[in-house]
Amino acid sequence: MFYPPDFAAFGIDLAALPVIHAPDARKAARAADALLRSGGFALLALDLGDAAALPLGMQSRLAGLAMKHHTAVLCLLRQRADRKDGRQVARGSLAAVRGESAKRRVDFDRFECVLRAVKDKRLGPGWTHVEVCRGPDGLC
Amino acid sequence: MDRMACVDLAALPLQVLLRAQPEWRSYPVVVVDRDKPSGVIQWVNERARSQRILPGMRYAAGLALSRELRGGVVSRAMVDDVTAELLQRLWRFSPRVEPSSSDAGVFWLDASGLGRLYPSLELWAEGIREDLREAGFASSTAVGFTRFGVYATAKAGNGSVTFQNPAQERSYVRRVSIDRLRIDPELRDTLLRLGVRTLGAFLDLPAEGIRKRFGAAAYELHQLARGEGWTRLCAREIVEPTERTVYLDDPEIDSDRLMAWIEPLLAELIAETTARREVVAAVTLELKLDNRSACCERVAPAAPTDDAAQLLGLVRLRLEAMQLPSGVVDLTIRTEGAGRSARQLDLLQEAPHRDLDAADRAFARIRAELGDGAVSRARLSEGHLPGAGYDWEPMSRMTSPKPRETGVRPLVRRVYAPPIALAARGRHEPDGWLVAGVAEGPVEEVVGPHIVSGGWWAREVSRAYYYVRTRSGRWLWIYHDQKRRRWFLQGEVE
Repeated sequence: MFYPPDFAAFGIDLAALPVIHAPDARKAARAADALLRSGGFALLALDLGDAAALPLGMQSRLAGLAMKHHTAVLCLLRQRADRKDGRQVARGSLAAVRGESAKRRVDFDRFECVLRAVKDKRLGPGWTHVEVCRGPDGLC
Repeated sequence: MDRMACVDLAALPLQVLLRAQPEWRSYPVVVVDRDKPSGVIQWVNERARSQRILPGMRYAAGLALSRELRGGVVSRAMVDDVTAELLQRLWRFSPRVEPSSSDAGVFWLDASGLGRLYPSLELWAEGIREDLREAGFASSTAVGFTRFGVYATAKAGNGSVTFQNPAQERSYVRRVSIDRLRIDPELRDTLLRLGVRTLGAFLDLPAEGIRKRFGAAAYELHQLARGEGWTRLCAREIVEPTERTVYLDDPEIDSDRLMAWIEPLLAELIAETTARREVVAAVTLELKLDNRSACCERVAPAAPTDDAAQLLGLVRLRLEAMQLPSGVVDLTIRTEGAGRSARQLDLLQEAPHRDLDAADRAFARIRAELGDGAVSRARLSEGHLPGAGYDWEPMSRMTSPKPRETGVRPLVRRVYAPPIALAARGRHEPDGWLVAGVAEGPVEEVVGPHIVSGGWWAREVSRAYYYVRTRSGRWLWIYHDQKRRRWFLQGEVE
């Protein structure tokens, strides 16, 4: 779970940030389905952690609902290099954009965060987004 | 002659707390305004009082006097809910009941004309006390002739008292101790210092002198005691519960077939609620099972509604999520009504870009499926330890966000609750400190320690926090618990 004081320091209004506590990835996807159908949200973040990828049928349904209601669905996964050649196992073939993040300490209290698109159905892969952030309390 | 009764549930918030936590009855218990060491004690039970824990103290001071002290918060809404429940009970004894608006737990009942229904008013009053006792409340009752007379007698807390004539009531009231009444503590202490210990002594004081010396509040009390300031009984209108019960011929476990029973009943209840110019705020299902057990489930829509499809959808989701051990033999469905909001009554509404009401309806569906605590939001609170810096509160309504502009944005940490215990460090680490296993590599950089301690009033905590970077590039947020002498993973910088 994200650490709420860090979100507050980020400028996010915690009072208007609903968090769904789901016992597993399947229930989380069902909750996302209900939220998408409402059309009340512009962005949904599914924190799946180390959980296995969602079933293809569920991905398909979420993708269809996201297009219908103009909602972005962001799935957060922790992947490791599972293949012998070091390439990561592809997950979420229906995803429009897939990115990998990395961070590097560049100064006493500054970290450079890089998001690299490994898949982008509209703009093509390879683009990167770089942002410099400060460390959390105790690391800056 | 008109007869009047008063029922007093002394220290109602404390009784509400003990009803919710019955295992605390053998402990000193207090009601506090906040469940924090700095919270102020508002009500105490006799065990706490005997240990010199008094209202007005800080919760931390109470804990210092007794390590066994139990405390909790009782909100105004909880007291209001209990008052509504008590009203329903008292309406069974009298059609005219008035709850006190200023003194929670005090009710006046019209006892006139009940002689034909009950053998005597003594038995009637004893029946009220017995009924409240079954509901988990201690009470005292008084049956007499005047509002103040029965109020003061009930406040005296001598169980059940019934007067046969007004003179008997006047004589009893004069002997009631003045500190039994809910009056301003400063006025009470002043009167006690002057030797005015009973209501009789107070009534003997001249009214104008009281106004001059003690102010308007004391004068008002004096007038009430003389029976001059009371208005007539303002009885609350009886609200009949909207419920339907169906007895099934054969035990039924299939949710689709149960829904076929529920659907027409719910439609009737919605029509009944609408006829009262209300909409449905919640639906309660009481199921009696074939194995003689029972279960009760309550679902609430995002906002009170008369939309049958929406309510049926929520009931269906809850029924499907239930694991019934046996077939249902009796089914009771009950609805709670609420007034329509001003927004629902608007003829023209400006539709927002994102429909927040639709989001609320989605929350209600998720709550019906995953449980009432499934949708929540974080609320920051004061606390030294990372886990005490926030808590989760149920979120029932979606609001438009108001984000703030910040300068350089911070990295966000992922937090593990509870923290994950790490393996103890070996004496010899030829490959370095493998804090997250071999795959992540050894620790290459350590930032810290940051010492955090607190909780001395309950269970002392002393921790040394570090950020460590593994060879794989992960920044882990760990701490060493100096009491337990163990390492824990608190979180990770994402």
